[in-house]
Amino acid sequence: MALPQSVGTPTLEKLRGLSSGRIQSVQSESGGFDAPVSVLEASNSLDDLALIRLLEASFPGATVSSLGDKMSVYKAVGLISELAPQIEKMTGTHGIAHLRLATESRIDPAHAQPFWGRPFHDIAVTHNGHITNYHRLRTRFEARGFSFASHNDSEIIGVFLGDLMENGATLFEALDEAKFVLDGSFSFIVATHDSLGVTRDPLATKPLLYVEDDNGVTLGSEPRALYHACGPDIKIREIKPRETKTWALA
Amino acid sequence: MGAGITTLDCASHTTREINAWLKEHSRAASLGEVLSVVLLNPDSRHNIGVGLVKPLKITIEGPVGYYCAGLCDGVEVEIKGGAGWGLAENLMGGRVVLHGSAGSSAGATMRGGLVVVHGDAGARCAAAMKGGTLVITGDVGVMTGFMMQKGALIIGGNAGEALGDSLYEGKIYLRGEADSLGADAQIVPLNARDTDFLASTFMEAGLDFQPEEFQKVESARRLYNFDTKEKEIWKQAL
Repeated sequence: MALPQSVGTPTLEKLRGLSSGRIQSVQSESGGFDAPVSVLEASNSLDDLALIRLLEASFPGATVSSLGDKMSVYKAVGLISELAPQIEKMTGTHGIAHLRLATESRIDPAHAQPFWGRPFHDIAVTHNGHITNYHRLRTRFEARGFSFASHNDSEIIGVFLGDLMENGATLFEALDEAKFVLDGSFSFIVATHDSLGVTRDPLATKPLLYVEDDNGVTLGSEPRALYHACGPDIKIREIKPRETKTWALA
Repeated sequence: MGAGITTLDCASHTTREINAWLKEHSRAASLGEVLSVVLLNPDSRHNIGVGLVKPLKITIEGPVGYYCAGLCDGVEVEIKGGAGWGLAENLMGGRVVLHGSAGSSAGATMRGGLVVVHGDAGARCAAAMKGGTLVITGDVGVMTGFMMQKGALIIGGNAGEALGDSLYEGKIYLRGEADSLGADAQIVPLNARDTDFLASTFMEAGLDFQPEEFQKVESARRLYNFDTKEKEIWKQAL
Protein backbone atom coordinates (compact mmCIF):
# COMPACT_ATOMS: atom_id res chain seq x y z
CA MET A 1 0.00 0.00 0.00
CA ALA A 2 1.18 3.56 -0.69
CA LEU A 3 0.54 5.81 2.30
CA PRO A 4 0.70 9.55 2.61
CA GLN A 5 3.10 10.56 5.31
CA SER A 6 0.32 11.70 7.62
CA VAL A 7 -1.11 8.17 7.88
CA GLY A 8 0.45 5.67 10.22
CA THR A 9 2.02 2.50 8.94
CA PRO A 10 -0.30 -0.50 9.30
CA THR A 11 1.27 -3.33 11.28
CA LEU A 12 1.33 -6.91 10.09
CA GLU A 13 -0.98 -7.81 12.97
CA LYS A 14 -3.54 -5.25 11.87
CA LEU A 15 -3.34 -6.41 8.27
CA ARG A 16 -3.65 -10.06 9.29
CA GLY A 17 -6.64 -9.25 11.38
CA LEU A 18 -8.37 -7.30 8.63
CA SER A 19 -7.70 -9.96 6.02
CA SER A 20 -8.70 -12.92 8.21
CA GLY A 21 -5.16 -14.21 8.11
CA ARG A 22 -4.67 -14.01 4.35
CA ILE A 23 -1.94 -11.40 4.54
CA GLN A 24 1.07 -13.36 5.68
CA SER A 25 3.87 -10.88 5.19
CA VAL A 26 4.54 -7.26 4.59
CA GLN A 27 7.46 -5.94 2.59
CA SER A 28 8.60 -2.54 3.71
CA GLU A 29 9.65 0.07 1.22
CA SER A 30 12.04 2.91 1.66
CA GLY A 31 13.04 5.76 -0.61
CA GLY A 32 11.63 8.54 1.49
CA PHE A 33 8.20 7.05 1.64
CA ASP A 34 6.88 4.60 4.22
CA ALA A 35 4.87 2.22 2.07
CA PRO A 36 4.58 -1.42 3.01
CA VAL A 37 3.59 -3.79 0.25
CA SER A 38 1.59 -6.80 1.22
CA VAL A 39 2.36 -10.25 -0.17
CA LEU A 40 -0.83 -12.20 -0.01
CA GLU A 41 -1.06 -15.95 0.29
CA ALA A 42 -4.24 -17.09 -1.44
CA SER A 43 -5.76 -19.34 1.18
CA ASN A 44 -9.49 -18.90 1.17
CA SER A 45 -12.32 -17.66 -0.96
CA LEU A 46 -12.45 -14.12 0.43
CA ASP A 47 -13.25 -11.77 -2.41
CA ASP A 48 -10.18 -9.74 -3.33
CA LEU A 49 -12.21 -6.71 -4.34
CA ALA A 50 -13.84 -6.71 -0.93
CA LEU A 51 -10.44 -7.13 0.77
CA ILE A 52 -9.06 -4.17 -1.12
CA ARG A 53 -12.05 -2.06 -0.13
CA LEU A 54 -11.65 -3.12 3.47
CA LEU A 55 -7.94 -2.32 3.60
CA GLU A 56 -8.31 1.03 1.90
CA ALA A 57 -11.26 1.97 4.10
CA SER A 58 -9.30 0.99 7.19
CA PHE A 59 -6.33 3.19 6.26
CA PRO A 60 -7.70 6.36 4.65
CA GLY A 61 -5.46 7.66 1.91
CA ALA A 62 -3.79 4.28 1.40
CA THR A 63 -3.98 2.22 -1.77
CA VAL A 64 -3.14 -1.45 -2.17
CA SER A 65 -0.34 -1.62 -4.72
CA SER A 66 -0.32 -5.36 -5.28
CA LEU A 67 -1.82 -8.68 -4.30
CA GLY A 68 -0.50 -12.05 -5.33
CA ASP A 69 1.61 -15.07 -4.56
CA LYS A 70 4.70 -14.28 -6.60
CA MET A 71 4.77 -10.56 -7.34
CA SER A 72 5.66 -7.48 -5.38
CA VAL A 73 5.49 -3.91 -6.58
CA TYR A 74 7.76 -1.16 -5.34
CA LYS A 75 6.90 2.42 -6.18
CA ALA A 76 8.32 5.70 -4.98
CA VAL A 77 8.76 9.33 -5.87
CA GLY A 78 12.35 10.49 -6.13
CA LEU A 79 15.59 10.02 -8.02
CA ILE A 80 16.57 6.82 -9.80
CA SER A 81 19.81 6.77 -7.82
CA GLU A 82 17.75 6.26 -4.69
CA LEU A 83 16.30 3.05 -6.10
CA ALA A 84 19.59 1.18 -6.19
CA PRO A 85 19.62 0.03 -2.53
CA GLN A 86 16.04 -1.24 -2.84
CA ILE A 87 16.61 -3.03 -6.12
CA GLU A 88 19.63 -4.84 -4.75
CA LYS A 89 17.37 -6.50 -2.19
CA MET A 90 14.99 -7.83 -4.83
CA THR A 91 15.23 -11.37 -6.19
CA GLY A 92 13.20 -13.13 -8.82
CA THR A 93 13.06 -14.56 -12.28
CA HIS A 94 11.82 -11.47 -14.11
CA GLY A 95 10.66 -7.94 -13.54
CA ILE A 96 9.53 -4.70 -15.11
CA ALA A 97 10.31 -1.11 -14.23
CA HIS A 98 9.24 2.36 -15.25
CA LEU A 99 10.36 5.95 -14.87
CA ARG A 100 7.38 8.21 -15.17
CA LEU A 101 7.25 11.48 -17.08
CA ALA A 102 3.95 12.72 -15.71
CA THR A 103 1.72 14.21 -18.38
CA GLU A 104 -1.45 14.01 -16.35
CA SER A 105 -2.78 13.03 -12.90
CA ARG A 106 -1.00 13.36 -9.60
CA ILE A 107 2.65 12.70 -8.86
CA ASP A 108 2.70 10.16 -6.05
CA PRO A 109 3.42 6.45 -5.73
CA ALA A 110 -0.21 5.50 -6.32
CA HIS A 111 0.00 7.12 -9.77
CA ALA A 112 3.42 5.67 -10.56
CA GLN A 113 4.05 2.53 -12.52
CA PRO A 114 4.13 -0.44 -12.74
CA PHE A 115 0.39 -0.67 -12.20
CA TRP A 116 -0.98 -3.78 -10.66
CA GLY A 117 -4.04 -5.13 -12.57
CA ARG A 118 -6.21 -5.03 -9.50
CA PRO A 119 -7.65 -7.23 -8.17
CA PHE A 120 -6.10 -10.02 -10.28
CA HIS A 121 -3.16 -11.76 -8.71
CA ASP A 122 0.35 -11.39 -10.03
CA ILE A 123 -0.13 -9.11 -13.00
CA ALA A 124 1.44 -5.70 -13.52
CA VAL A 125 1.97 -3.38 -16.47
CA THR A 126 4.32 -0.59 -17.51
CA HIS A 127 2.98 1.65 -20.24
CA ASN A 128 4.26 4.41 -22.49
CA GLY A 129 1.51 6.35 -24.24
CA HIS A 130 -2.02 7.50 -23.57
CA ILE A 131 -5.15 5.32 -23.47
CA THR A 132 -7.79 7.66 -24.86
CA ASN A 133 -10.80 5.45 -24.10
CA TYR A 134 -9.67 5.00 -20.48
CA HIS A 135 -12.71 6.69 -18.93
CA ARG A 136 -15.16 4.61 -20.92
CA LEU A 137 -13.40 1.39 -19.99
CA ARG A 138 -13.05 2.42 -16.36
CA THR A 139 -16.75 3.18 -16.10
CA ARG A 140 -17.56 -0.32 -17.32
CA PHE A 141 -15.27 -1.93 -14.77
CA GLU A 142 -16.54 0.27 -11.94
CA ALA A 143 -20.08 -0.79 -12.80
CA ARG A 144 -18.92 -4.35 -12.11
CA GLY A 145 -17.54 -3.40 -8.71
CA PHE A 146 -13.91 -2.79 -9.60
CA SER A 147 -11.96 -0.05 -7.87
CA PHE A 148 -8.86 1.79 -9.02
CA ALA A 149 -5.84 3.06 -7.17
CA SER A 150 -5.37 6.13 -9.35
CA HIS A 151 -6.79 8.34 -12.07
CA ASN A 152 -3.99 7.38 -14.41
CA ASP A 153 -5.04 5.87 -17.75
CA SER A 154 -2.23 3.33 -17.70
CA GLU A 155 -3.85 1.52 -14.80
CA ILE A 156 -6.70 0.23 -17.00
CA ILE A 157 -4.40 -1.99 -19.06
CA GLY A 158 -3.57 -4.57 -16.39
CA VAL A 159 -7.19 -4.66 -15.22
CA PHE A 160 -8.36 -5.31 -18.78
CA LEU A 161 -5.78 -8.05 -19.35
CA GLY A 162 -6.35 -9.65 -15.95
CA ASP A 163 -10.09 -9.78 -16.54
CA LEU A 164 -9.63 -11.59 -19.86
CA MET A 165 -7.16 -14.06 -18.38
CA GLU A 166 -9.42 -14.70 -15.39
CA ASN A 167 -12.03 -15.73 -17.95
CA GLY A 168 -9.77 -18.22 -19.72
CA ALA A 169 -7.68 -16.22 -22.16
CA THR A 170 -3.96 -16.85 -22.39
CA LEU A 171 -1.66 -13.90 -21.98
CA PHE A 172 -1.09 -13.82 -25.74
CA GLU A 173 -4.83 -13.87 -26.44
CA ALA A 174 -5.45 -11.13 -23.90
CA LEU A 175 -2.77 -8.93 -25.48
CA ASP A 176 -4.16 -9.58 -28.93
CA GLU A 177 -7.59 -8.48 -27.75
CA ALA A 178 -6.18 -5.45 -25.96
CA LYS A 179 -4.53 -3.96 -29.00
CA PHE A 180 -7.91 -3.74 -30.71
CA VAL A 181 -9.96 -2.62 -27.72
CA LEU A 182 -7.57 -0.05 -26.31
CA ASP A 183 -7.59 3.26 -28.13
CA GLY A 184 -4.74 5.74 -28.21
CA SER A 185 -1.00 5.32 -28.17
CA PHE A 186 0.53 2.44 -26.28
CA SER A 187 3.66 0.43 -26.00
CA PHE A 188 3.42 -1.65 -22.87
CA ILE A 189 4.98 -4.57 -21.08
CA VAL A 190 2.93 -6.89 -18.88
CA ALA A 191 4.42 -9.21 -16.28
CA THR A 192 2.63 -12.19 -14.75
CA HIS A 193 3.98 -14.77 -12.35
CA ASP A 194 5.62 -16.70 -15.17
CA SER A 195 5.58 -14.53 -18.28
CA LEU A 196 6.30 -11.26 -19.94
CA GLY A 197 4.22 -9.90 -22.82
CA VAL A 198 4.22 -6.84 -25.07
CA THR A 199 2.18 -5.16 -27.72
CA ARG A 200 2.11 -1.79 -29.52
CA ASP A 201 -0.60 0.29 -31.13
CA PRO A 202 -0.83 0.50 -34.96
CA LEU A 203 1.09 3.76 -35.31
CA ALA A 204 3.73 2.72 -32.76
CA THR A 205 4.99 6.17 -31.88
CA LYS A 206 6.16 5.08 -28.43
CA PRO A 207 9.43 3.12 -28.49
CA LEU A 208 9.80 -0.49 -27.39
CA LEU A 209 13.01 -2.37 -28.15
CA TYR A 210 14.23 -5.77 -27.13
CA VAL A 211 17.17 -8.14 -27.15
CA GLU A 212 16.85 -11.91 -27.13
CA ASP A 213 19.95 -13.86 -26.23
CA ASP A 214 21.05 -16.87 -24.22
CA ASN A 215 20.19 -15.05 -21.01
CA GLY A 216 16.56 -14.48 -21.99
CA VAL A 217 14.81 -11.33 -23.15
CA THR A 218 15.54 -7.74 -22.18
CA LEU A 219 13.18 -4.92 -23.12
CA GLY A 220 13.56 -1.18 -22.97
CA SER A 221 12.61 2.16 -24.45
CA GLU A 222 16.12 3.15 -25.51
CA PRO A 223 19.11 1.33 -26.99
CA ARG A 224 21.29 2.73 -24.23
CA ALA A 225 19.44 0.79 -21.56
CA LEU A 226 19.84 -2.42 -23.53
CA TYR A 227 23.55 -1.87 -24.14
CA HIS A 228 24.04 -1.30 -20.44
CA ALA A 229 22.07 -4.41 -19.54
CA CYS A 230 23.31 -6.78 -22.23
CA GLY A 231 26.68 -5.48 -23.39
CA PRO A 232 27.85 -3.84 -26.61
CA ASP A 233 27.56 -6.75 -29.04
CA ILE A 234 23.81 -7.22 -29.22
CA LYS A 235 21.15 -7.25 -31.88
CA ILE A 236 18.49 -4.74 -30.90
CA ARG A 237 15.07 -5.31 -32.41
CA GLU A 238 11.95 -3.20 -32.28
CA ILE A 239 8.50 -4.55 -31.45
CA LYS A 240 6.51 -3.87 -34.59
CA PRO A 241 3.20 -2.00 -34.69
CA ARG A 242 0.35 -4.31 -33.62
CA GLU A 243 2.84 -7.05 -32.89
CA THR A 244 2.19 -9.21 -29.85
CA LYS A 245 4.98 -11.20 -28.23
CA THR A 246 5.10 -13.22 -25.04
CA TRP A 247 7.91 -14.99 -23.25
CA ALA A 248 7.37 -17.64 -20.57
CA LEU A 249 9.68 -19.12 -17.99
CA ALA A 250 11.11 -22.42 -19.07
CA MET B 1 45.29 7.55 -34.12
CA GLY B 2 46.49 9.20 -37.33
CA ALA B 3 48.28 12.48 -37.41
CA GLY B 4 46.03 15.51 -37.15
CA ILE B 5 43.14 13.64 -35.51
CA THR B 6 41.83 14.89 -32.21
CA THR B 7 40.03 12.59 -29.78
CA LEU B 8 37.47 13.22 -27.07
CA ASP B 9 36.32 10.67 -24.51
CA CYS B 10 32.59 11.28 -24.12
CA ALA B 11 32.55 9.46 -20.80
CA SER B 12 34.16 12.47 -19.17
CA HIS B 13 31.89 15.12 -20.65
CA THR B 14 28.29 16.17 -20.76
CA THR B 15 26.50 16.16 -24.09
CA ARG B 16 26.56 19.95 -24.11
CA GLU B 17 30.34 19.92 -23.67
CA ILE B 18 30.76 17.35 -26.43
CA ASN B 19 28.75 19.40 -28.88
CA ALA B 20 30.53 22.61 -27.91
CA TRP B 21 33.84 20.84 -28.52
CA LEU B 22 32.66 19.68 -31.94
CA LYS B 23 31.46 23.15 -32.85
CA GLU B 24 34.79 24.62 -31.79
CA HIS B 25 36.63 22.21 -34.04
CA SER B 26 34.28 22.88 -36.95
CA ARG B 27 35.25 26.55 -36.86
CA ALA B 28 38.63 25.65 -38.38
CA ALA B 29 36.78 25.18 -41.67
CA SER B 30 36.39 28.94 -41.85
CA LEU B 31 40.17 29.09 -42.21
CA GLY B 32 40.14 26.51 -44.98
CA GLU B 33 40.99 23.47 -42.89
CA VAL B 34 38.57 20.58 -42.28
CA LEU B 35 39.56 18.81 -39.11
CA SER B 36 39.07 15.15 -38.25
CA VAL B 37 37.91 14.24 -34.76
CA VAL B 38 37.08 11.01 -32.95
CA LEU B 39 34.54 10.55 -30.16
CA LEU B 40 35.13 7.63 -27.83
CA ASN B 41 32.55 5.98 -25.53
CA PRO B 42 29.43 7.72 -26.81
CA ASP B 43 27.33 5.28 -24.74
CA SER B 44 24.24 5.77 -26.91
CA ARG B 45 23.90 9.37 -25.78
CA HIS B 46 21.25 11.47 -27.46
CA ASN B 47 21.83 14.55 -29.60
CA ILE B 48 25.50 13.93 -30.37
CA GLY B 49 26.80 16.17 -33.14
CA VAL B 50 23.68 18.20 -33.79
CA GLY B 51 23.55 21.61 -35.39
CA LEU B 52 27.03 21.64 -36.96
CA VAL B 53 26.96 23.85 -40.03
CA LYS B 54 30.65 24.02 -40.92
CA PRO B 55 32.60 21.10 -42.39
CA LEU B 56 34.04 18.62 -39.91
CA LYS B 57 34.91 14.92 -40.11
CA ILE B 58 33.62 13.02 -37.09
CA THR B 59 34.16 9.36 -36.26
CA ILE B 60 32.07 8.05 -33.39
CA GLU B 61 33.41 4.84 -31.88
CA GLY B 62 30.24 3.22 -30.60
CA PRO B 63 26.45 3.45 -30.65
CA VAL B 64 24.56 6.72 -30.44
CA GLY B 65 21.11 7.61 -29.21
CA TYR B 66 18.48 9.86 -30.72
CA TYR B 67 19.03 12.59 -33.34
CA CYS B 68 22.72 12.05 -33.98
CA ALA B 69 23.99 14.41 -36.72
CA GLY B 70 20.63 16.12 -36.92
CA LEU B 71 20.36 19.67 -38.29
CA CYS B 72 23.88 19.53 -39.73
CA ASP B 73 25.31 20.90 -42.97
CA GLY B 74 28.56 19.86 -44.59
CA VAL B 75 29.74 17.40 -41.95
CA GLU B 76 31.01 13.90 -42.55
CA VAL B 77 29.97 11.59 -39.73
CA GLU B 78 30.81 7.92 -39.40
CA ILE B 79 29.19 5.99 -36.55
CA LYS B 80 30.60 2.61 -35.65
CA GLY B 81 27.54 1.21 -33.97
CA GLY B 82 23.76 1.51 -33.94
CA ALA B 83 21.67 4.63 -33.62
CA GLY B 84 18.39 5.50 -32.00
CA TRP B 85 15.60 7.50 -33.51
CA GLY B 86 15.99 10.47 -35.82
CA LEU B 87 19.44 9.76 -37.26
CA ALA B 88 20.48 12.75 -39.40
CA GLU B 89 17.10 14.33 -38.98
CA ASN B 90 16.82 17.51 -41.02
CA LEU B 91 20.30 17.04 -42.48
CA MET B 92 21.03 19.97 -44.79
CA GLY B 93 24.10 18.55 -46.47
CA GLY B 94 27.10 16.33 -45.91
CA ARG B 95 27.42 12.63 -45.32
CA VAL B 96 26.43 10.34 -42.47
CA VAL B 97 27.36 6.66 -42.44
CA LEU B 98 26.06 4.28 -39.80
CA HIS B 99 27.64 0.87 -39.32
CA GLY B 100 24.66 -0.61 -37.54
CA SER B 101 20.89 -0.40 -37.46
CA ALA B 102 18.93 2.78 -36.97
CA GLY B 103 15.77 3.35 -35.04
CA SER B 104 12.64 5.04 -36.31
CA SER B 105 12.55 8.25 -38.31
CA ALA B 106 16.06 7.94 -39.79
CA GLY B 107 16.61 10.80 -42.23
CA ALA B 108 13.28 12.40 -41.38
CA THR B 109 12.84 15.83 -43.03
CA MET B 110 16.28 15.64 -44.64
CA ARG B 111 17.00 18.46 -47.07
CA GLY B 112 20.29 17.35 -48.57
CA GLY B 113 23.33 15.15 -48.26
CA LEU B 114 23.78 11.40 -48.20
CA VAL B 115 22.94 9.09 -45.32
CA VAL B 116 23.89 5.41 -45.50
CA VAL B 117 22.70 2.89 -42.89
CA HIS B 118 24.51 -0.42 -43.11
CA GLY B 119 21.73 -2.26 -41.35
CA ASP B 120 18.00 -2.04 -40.79
CA ALA B 121 15.91 0.99 -39.93
CA GLY B 122 12.74 1.35 -37.97
CA ALA B 123 9.42 2.92 -38.82
CA ARG B 124 8.88 6.16 -40.69
CA CYS B 125 12.38 6.63 -42.08
CA ALA B 126 12.63 9.41 -44.65
CA ALA B 127 9.34 10.81 -43.36
CA ALA B 128 8.68 14.25 -44.86
CA MET B 129 12.02 14.14 -46.65
CA LYS B 130 12.72 17.26 -48.72
CA GLY B 131 15.95 16.37 -50.47
CA GLY B 132 19.13 14.35 -50.34
CA THR B 133 19.48 10.58 -50.40
CA LEU B 134 18.90 8.02 -47.66
CA VAL B 135 20.17 4.49 -48.20
CA ILE B 136 19.12 1.65 -45.90
CA THR B 137 20.91 -1.54 -46.89
CA GLY B 138 18.59 -3.77 -44.84
CA ASP B 139 14.90 -3.72 -43.98
CA VAL B 140 12.77 -0.74 -43.03
CA GLY B 141 9.72 -0.44 -40.85
CA VAL B 142 6.16 0.72 -41.33
CA MET B 143 5.15 3.98 -43.02
CA THR B 144 8.59 4.43 -44.48
CA GLY B 145 8.74 7.41 -46.80
CA PHE B 146 5.60 8.90 -45.32
CA MET B 147 4.86 12.23 -47.03
CA MET B 148 8.24 12.39 -48.79
CA GLN B 149 8.25 15.67 -50.66
CA LYS B 150 11.52 15.29 -52.55
CA GLY B 151 14.70 13.29 -52.31
CA ALA B 152 15.45 9.63 -52.72
CA LEU B 153 15.18 6.64 -50.44
CA ILE B 154 16.95 3.42 -51.38
CA ILE B 155 15.97 0.25 -49.51
CA GLY B 156 18.21 -2.78 -49.89
CA GLY B 157 15.85 -5.13 -48.07
CA ASN B 158 12.13 -5.36 -47.38
CA ALA B 159 9.69 -2.72 -46.20
CA GLY B 160 6.88 -2.80 -43.67
CA GLU B 161 3.30 -1.72 -44.21
CA ALA B 162 2.24 1.48 -45.95
CA LEU B 163 5.44 2.14 -47.86
CA GLY B 164 5.41 5.61 -49.40
CA ASP B 165 2.12 6.64 -47.87
CA SER B 166 1.08 10.09 -49.15
CA LEU B 167 4.19 10.59 -51.26
CA TYR B 168 4.69 13.88 -53.04
CA GLU B 169 7.71 13.91 -55.37
CA GLY B 170 10.03 11.75 -53.29
CA LYS B 171 11.31 8.60 -54.97
CA ILE B 172 11.65 5.23 -53.27
CA TYR B 173 13.76 2.44 -54.70
CA LEU B 174 13.02 -0.96 -53.20
CA ARG B 175 15.10 -4.10 -53.65
CA GLY B 176 12.95 -6.48 -51.62
CA GLU B 177 9.21 -6.65 -50.98
CA ALA B 178 6.85 -4.27 -49.21
CA ASP B 179 4.18 -5.63 -46.87
CA SER B 180 1.89 -3.07 -48.49
CA LEU B 181 2.02 0.23 -50.33
CA GLY B 182 0.71 3.35 -48.67
CA ALA B 183 -2.08 5.63 -49.83
CA ASP B 184 -1.55 6.86 -53.42
CA ALA B 185 1.79 5.03 -53.81
CA GLN B 186 2.43 3.00 -56.93
CA ILE B 187 5.19 0.92 -58.45
CA VAL B 188 6.53 2.23 -61.76
CA PRO B 189 9.34 1.10 -64.06
CA LEU B 190 12.82 2.50 -63.69
CA ASN B 191 13.92 4.94 -66.35
CA ALA B 192 17.43 5.81 -67.52
CA ARG B 193 17.74 8.66 -65.06
CA ASP B 194 16.83 6.32 -62.18
CA THR B 195 19.39 3.77 -63.31
CA ASP B 196 22.14 6.38 -63.54
CA PHE B 197 21.21 7.81 -60.17
CA LEU B 198 21.26 4.41 -58.48
CA ALA B 199 24.54 3.40 -60.09
CA SER B 200 26.29 6.61 -59.04
CA THR B 201 24.86 6.41 -55.51
CA PHE B 202 25.98 2.81 -55.05
CA MET B 203 29.45 3.77 -56.21
CA GLU B 204 29.60 6.75 -53.89
CA ALA B 205 28.32 4.68 -50.94
CA GLY B 206 30.52 1.67 -51.72
CA LEU B 207 27.58 -0.69 -52.10
CA ASP B 208 27.47 -3.86 -54.14
CA PHE B 209 23.92 -3.38 -55.46
CA GLN B 210 22.78 -3.31 -59.06
CA PRO B 211 20.13 -0.86 -60.30
CA GLU B 212 18.16 -3.59 -62.08
CA GLU B 213 17.53 -5.29 -58.70
CA PHE B 214 15.31 -2.41 -57.64
CA GLN B 215 11.75 -1.35 -58.28
CA LYS B 216 10.59 2.24 -57.99
CA VAL B 217 7.76 3.53 -55.85
CA GLU B 218 6.39 6.96 -56.51
CA SER B 219 3.23 8.95 -56.01
CA ALA B 220 0.22 8.39 -58.25
CA ARG B 221 -0.40 12.10 -57.72
CA ARG B 222 -4.10 11.75 -57.06
CA LEU B 223 -4.05 13.02 -53.47
CA TYR B 224 -2.23 16.33 -53.85
CA ASN B 225 -3.44 17.04 -57.38
CA PHE B 226 -7.16 16.62 -57.28
CA ASP B 227 -10.40 17.91 -58.63
CA THR B 228 -13.17 18.54 -56.13
CA LYS B 229 -15.39 16.62 -58.50
CA GLU B 230 -13.32 13.52 -57.79
CA LYS B 231 -14.16 13.21 -54.11
CA GLU B 232 -14.38 9.45 -54.37
CA ILE B 233 -10.63 9.22 -54.85
CA TRP B 234 -10.09 11.02 -51.55
CA LYS B 235 -12.66 8.89 -49.79
CA GLN B 236 -10.87 5.75 -50.92
CA ALA B 237 -7.47 7.03 -49.88
CA LEU B 238 -8.66 8.05 -46.46
